[in-house]
Amino acid sequence: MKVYLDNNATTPVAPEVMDEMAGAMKIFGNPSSLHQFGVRARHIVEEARSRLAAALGCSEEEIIFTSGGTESDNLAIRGALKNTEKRHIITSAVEHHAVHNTFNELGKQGYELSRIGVDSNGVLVAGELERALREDTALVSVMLANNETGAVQPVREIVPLIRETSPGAVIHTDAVQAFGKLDFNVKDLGVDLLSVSAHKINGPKGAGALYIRKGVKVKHLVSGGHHERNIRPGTENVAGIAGLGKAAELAVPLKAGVIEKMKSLKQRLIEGVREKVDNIRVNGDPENTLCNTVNISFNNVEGESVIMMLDMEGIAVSTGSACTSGSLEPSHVLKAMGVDPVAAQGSIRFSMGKYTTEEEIEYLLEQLPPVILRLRKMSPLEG
Amino acid sequence: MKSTLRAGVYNQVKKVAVALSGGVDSATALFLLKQQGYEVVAVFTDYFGCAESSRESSCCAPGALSRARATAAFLDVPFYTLDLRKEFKEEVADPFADAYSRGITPNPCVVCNSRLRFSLLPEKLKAMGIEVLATGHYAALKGTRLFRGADKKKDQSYFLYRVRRENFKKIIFPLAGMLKQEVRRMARRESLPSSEEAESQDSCILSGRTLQGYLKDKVKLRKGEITDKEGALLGEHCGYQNYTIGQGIGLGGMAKRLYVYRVVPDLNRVVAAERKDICRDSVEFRYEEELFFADEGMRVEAKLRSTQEPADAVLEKVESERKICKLRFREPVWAPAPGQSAVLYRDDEVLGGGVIQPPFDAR
Repeated sequence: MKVYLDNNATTPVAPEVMDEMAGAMKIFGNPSSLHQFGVRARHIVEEARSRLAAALGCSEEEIIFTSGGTESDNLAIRGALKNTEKRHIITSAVEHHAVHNTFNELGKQGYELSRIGVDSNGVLVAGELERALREDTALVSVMLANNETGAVQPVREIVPLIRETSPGAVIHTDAVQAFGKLDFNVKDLGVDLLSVSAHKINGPKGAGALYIRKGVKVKHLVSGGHHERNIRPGTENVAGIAGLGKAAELAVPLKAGVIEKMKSLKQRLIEGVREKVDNIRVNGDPENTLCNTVNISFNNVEGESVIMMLDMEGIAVSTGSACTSGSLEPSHVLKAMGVDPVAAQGSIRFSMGKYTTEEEIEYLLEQLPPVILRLRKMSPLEG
Repeated sequence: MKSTLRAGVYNQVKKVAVALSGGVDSATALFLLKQQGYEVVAVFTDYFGCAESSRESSCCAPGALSRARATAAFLDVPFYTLDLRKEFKEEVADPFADAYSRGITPNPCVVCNSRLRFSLLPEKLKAMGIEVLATGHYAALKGTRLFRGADKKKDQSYFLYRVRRENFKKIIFPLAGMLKQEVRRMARRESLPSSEEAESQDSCILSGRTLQGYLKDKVKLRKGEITDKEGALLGEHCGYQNYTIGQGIGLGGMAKRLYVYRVVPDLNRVVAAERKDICRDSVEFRYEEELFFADEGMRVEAKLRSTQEPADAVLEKVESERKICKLRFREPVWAPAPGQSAVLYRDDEVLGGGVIQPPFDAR
């Protein structure tokens, strides 16, 4: 049996998306061309834009297509800062590396950083943000939901705070993990900039978008032609964009039925693990984490070994962000939550997707306990 | 090809891990075991951080990891990378640089095999539920006794003598009965991704650099004197750590070619001598009891470095208290280097060995 529980790393491409992309690849014209070859390609791009706009609750001209979440985050943060003289920027301690490391680099370039801490559930401490806000704050970037723990951040709640104290600040949120798994629309959230990625919602890799609220200025990071309103030059990735549009459309019904289904699977997973394995800690408050994400620290085991042993049984999970799995460093997210570094080494992320079944969760609950037991027996950490 | 695997013993075994290096030997070992019906997984031990994708093409043997991965994918076998960076640094790399600083010549592959590959790695695999490990070494096992492989020229048993014998219980060497050219031919016939890989000559620790290039970053190199045995100045060197006994020294104006006779770290001095002085008719080595299976008076073949032909010798004296053994050669041998291993053979069996000690007259 093959069980894929690493949907926060990436998701299987939906068959409907594949069909859409296969069709789009036959339309080889350049969307900027004036002849009919170009016009047909342009139509595909614009249809995708309108599908994505509908899914996010914004208008078409507020969408800029990019190569994915990382580029969207970079474009949002660096592109917005190009339009201001202010040098103070704020983010949370638990951002994805695309934001986290962008802030690190900006810090080296002379920007003044404030990094807001999180509580033991991984949720931003609003009071700390309030104290950090200044009149000369240029930008605030706080993710909508965390990729490692699934913790949902109070973005909607902090927007009024920021508007009051720092009226000129641009507000960005990385919604790459939240999109499709959390019911939101951009107008409700009230943010200025919002990043999404196709491959986290059963779309293709290499396609993403940035929502830019009407009136907010973002400057291009690479120079070129007039594509995407001069903000993102380069001939459009037509098939990728078509895939993103279709995936976004499919993600709208996902919000209703599938979210409920995943919630009950998540509950079963947590209950099952608690029942069968002792000495664990569920990271994040299950009431306030994404419907598909469960992060558990298993004391006295190494996460890496758990992954390999489960893999041999056909089950795919991860220790944290796929982007950090090559490094030995404990996750900065769990560290910020105050998880003991040794316990953090034994942390496993289970992330479900829209194709996950009850049977698969039961299979995991059968296979996991003996793996943990076996590793604990071998562990030098065992007291 | 004759089968090198004992039927019955391992056929009960559920899973075998094959350690892939990215080379043709381990790839062929994996192919053979898979063909014989074992449930195999491939593992790559990452000693240098190769798995960090940004470094993949520039670490150890460039491309080793990607070739290993490609081999596993080609044979449709699960592939795992095990991060042993910290352990490799502590057990192998740091002592390697340290040995040169003490004026002796280290054997990093011997250390790696005994401390990591055939001890820590099986432990890690056992924790994952895999009891048996296979590698692409040219060496043979009978029970827990270690022998030369069928390919005497490629034989790698020298590098394995320090592995504890009980650790051999769960080891398979699928290439034990094969010649290198047979392995290469088989890899080509099967179109294995590493079938055309050139033989790697250097220790992986150098990552393709010269020893000098490697040491430059690890130890402080200072200029010093090159003298003859009586202490007369012959020239200048740029760091004693770069020298190993027997190494040729290019000094202009000398009638005869000179070689490193001795390295004296305390004086930052390299002593040079003529060819005849570098040869010795005996050496002493220090052994470990658990790794020594020969008796005083025994006639053996002794191999004093991995690239040297074995020499006929007699175990002249075994001092069990000091754990020192004296070997006397039938004919003088070239440049035994303190720090290198003397490995004893009789009828292709490895009878153990030990670390060569500095000679009396060089202390």
